[in-house]
Amino acid sequence: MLRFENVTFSYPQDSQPTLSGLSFEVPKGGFVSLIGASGCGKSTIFRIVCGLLKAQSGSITVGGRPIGEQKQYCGYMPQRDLLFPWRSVEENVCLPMELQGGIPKDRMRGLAREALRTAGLEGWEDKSPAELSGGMRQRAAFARTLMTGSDLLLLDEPFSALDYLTRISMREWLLQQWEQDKKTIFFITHDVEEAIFLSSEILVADTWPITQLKRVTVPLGWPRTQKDLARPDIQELKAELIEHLRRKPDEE
Amino acid sequence: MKNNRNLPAAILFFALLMIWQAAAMGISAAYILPSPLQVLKRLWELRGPLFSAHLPATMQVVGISLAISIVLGLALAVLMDVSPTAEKALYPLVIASQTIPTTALAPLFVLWFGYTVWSKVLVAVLMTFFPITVTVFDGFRSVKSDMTDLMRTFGASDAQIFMKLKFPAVLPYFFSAVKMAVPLSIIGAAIGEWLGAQSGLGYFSRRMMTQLDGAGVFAPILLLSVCAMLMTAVVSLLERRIVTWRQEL
Repeated sequence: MLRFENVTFSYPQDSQPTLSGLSFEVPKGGFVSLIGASGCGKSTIFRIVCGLLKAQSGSITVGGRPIGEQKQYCGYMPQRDLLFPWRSVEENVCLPMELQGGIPKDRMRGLAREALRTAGLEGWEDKSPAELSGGMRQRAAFARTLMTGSDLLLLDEPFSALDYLTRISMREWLLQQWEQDKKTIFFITHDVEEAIFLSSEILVADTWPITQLKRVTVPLGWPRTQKDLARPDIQELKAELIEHLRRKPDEE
Repeated sequence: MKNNRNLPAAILFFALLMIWQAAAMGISAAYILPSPLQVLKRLWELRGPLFSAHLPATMQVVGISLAISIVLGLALAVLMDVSPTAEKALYPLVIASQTIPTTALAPLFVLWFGYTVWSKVLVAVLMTFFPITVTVFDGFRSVKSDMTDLMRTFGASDAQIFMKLKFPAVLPYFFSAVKMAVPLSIIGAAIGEWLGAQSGLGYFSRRMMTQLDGAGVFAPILLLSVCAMLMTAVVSLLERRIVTWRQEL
């Protein structure tokens, strides 16, 4: 679905590149998490995929076509929900469709209401985002991301600002959504447990600059529950991944 | 609830009025310090010329200069937001324009434009376009770059980012700017009229001074203050109607 081939990127102010000759792939329909210490360049990879940053060399394709030739090939969900306070919840969800243009208003509203219903926000359509709790806001933001119509969703630490219990229920909710929608999800987190619980595969960024991503397959089937995380082999994997990330203390 | 909040201010206001009244009665020379009651009485006596000729004249200046300042201020703010070159060129000049002693220059404007409305409008515009430009421009700058980025990932064009993100985000700043500009434009108009005019509340106040009519000096000033308060209240009302999300930003 998403393929990086030999991608190099450096910020103008940095002497060293952030990504150097990086290649990896996110398979269609997969749930792949990218973990790494904060500041290691995870978000840079996302910004490149979204087209907010341009790689100096290498090729990036989504669905087999270079991203430069496409529009609306990915739905990006940032860490903060960034719901516009002057729009109702439904109007926020309509935003990506409005920007694409050419969709009749009634149809937009219908799609937005449907997405909000599956996000468990039925009855909240006309409310202002300020009236929603943190978890509800993130679900609204997720519904908005779905409205891009893209098969590839990039979720950048979407639950990191939530409290622990809300996070846990949001993870379960996200997995349900993924199983329903059959989208490809590329997920950034610094929370190893979250990555294990959610993903079919985990990519670990542990070099500076990022030259390759270590690939780890999660030995868990579907559906999953919180209890699965207590399995000894999963605990071992978690410890191993944490150890792996800690090996580079100078990465900040 | 609301009444309770305003109560301390109301008490203080009346206490100050009482002190004023007492002081005026103590001095007992209305040409030096007229009492509030004398001012109100004079306002009533002079209501004919004040309301039929001078208030409309001043309000005309205020209306024209506010309109010009809003258009000019918004245009400059948008231009500086759209073009970094324009920002580099204009911003220092806009700031520098505030160091010009407008009041001292006003007689020159009278030389240029005579006793027409434009000499006063120029004074008022010079005083009001600045807070509008700077506040609205700050509003543009406050638009979070992650929101702009999000719009870009949705495929938004520059025009869409302006209309759907920057324009609504800047509205609270715009209303703050107009609330600042309203009293300034009234002050500007009054100063302009003081220095050269044939009508207007500023002009009238000055004429009363030449006649040593203390209460007559205050009456139009009281009227000016009331106008400023009423206009600001109207803008606040509009703001509350339009900007319902302000507290969340």
